[in-house]
Amino acid sequence: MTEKKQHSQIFNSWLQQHQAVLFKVVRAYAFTPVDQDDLFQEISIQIWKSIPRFRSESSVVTWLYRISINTALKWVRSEKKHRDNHFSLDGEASILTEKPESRDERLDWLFAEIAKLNRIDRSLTLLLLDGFSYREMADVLGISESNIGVKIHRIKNHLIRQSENGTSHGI
Amino acid sequence: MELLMEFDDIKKIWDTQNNEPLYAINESALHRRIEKELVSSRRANNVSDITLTIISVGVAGFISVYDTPLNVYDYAMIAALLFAVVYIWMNRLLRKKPEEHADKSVRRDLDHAIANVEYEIRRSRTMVWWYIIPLAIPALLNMTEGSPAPWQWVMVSGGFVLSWFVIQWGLTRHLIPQKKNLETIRIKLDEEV
Repeated sequence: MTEKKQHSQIFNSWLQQHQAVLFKVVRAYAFTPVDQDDLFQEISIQIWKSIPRFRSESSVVTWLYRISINTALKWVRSEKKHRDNHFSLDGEASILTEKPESRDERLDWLFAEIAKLNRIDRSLTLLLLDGFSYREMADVLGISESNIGVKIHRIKNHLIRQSENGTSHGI
Repeated sequence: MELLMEFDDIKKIWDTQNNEPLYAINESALHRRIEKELVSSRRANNVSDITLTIISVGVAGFISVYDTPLNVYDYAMIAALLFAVVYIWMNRLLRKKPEEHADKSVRRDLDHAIANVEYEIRRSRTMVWWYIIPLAIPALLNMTEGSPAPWQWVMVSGGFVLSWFVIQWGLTRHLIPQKKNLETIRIKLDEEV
């Protein structure tokens, strides 16, 4: 098997098995279909490039989160530029199509709350909700575990408080 | 009535998307775009180094073939051009090495990205010293040996001034804003956690 074919096979299997990770990051950082498509493409490119550097020291999910968050953090700032330039992609099919049947009001509410957080807190919230330990979060972001603890406590309280508004709206 | 969810309830909502993907991926479109982007980013990374190399080797070759007999200024220009090519490719090799250390964490990747942009900024800022001036001085001195027309003076010196403006434009338009963006994220990572 050629190297390129192997590379492509790894990429496809990661995409198949862990697409939910990518979708979560995309939805937390990009808010229009065009931007979501663009961010997903950018994350996919970075993941593709990262394959030769992947070592089994970390799990694939941790690796994908690290690459995706990193890409999303840098991407948000140039979001306007991306939107302005998007016409250059005209004529090409969209990469992502939202599945209406998967739409869940409670999830919409949760993503809306996550979107209100600052960029770093958003990444912590994703990792928290996906069950990462403080140690793993510290490894992904490269910051100390004790700082993570304080921040996570605040994020949890914030989400629980906001759920009060959500429940009063039938969520 | 006040009804607060527990964090576990919020997590249950979150977990629903693991079974029901929110989007469908058009895989062939994704592969096409990845291929296209990879080609264009490889091209963008190489374009300035390769363009400078081609110009430098081309001009040095042109001088040594068509400007015979060579005088001291011609030799100085050829040496400056070849030195610039060696400098460009040595820096390129040195810059490629640390990439394998990236991806350890978001912070390290940011540090790495900032270091790369700083390198590009430093290179652009010093280009006037290691490329434009070493080339411009012998070129202009060489012209004083003959009796070029005024338009020739304007063309040659204008070319050097234009190169300086193009470098400055790249700096202010792309590199410096890029560095600021990366530093903002880096500061936020430190401050807010």
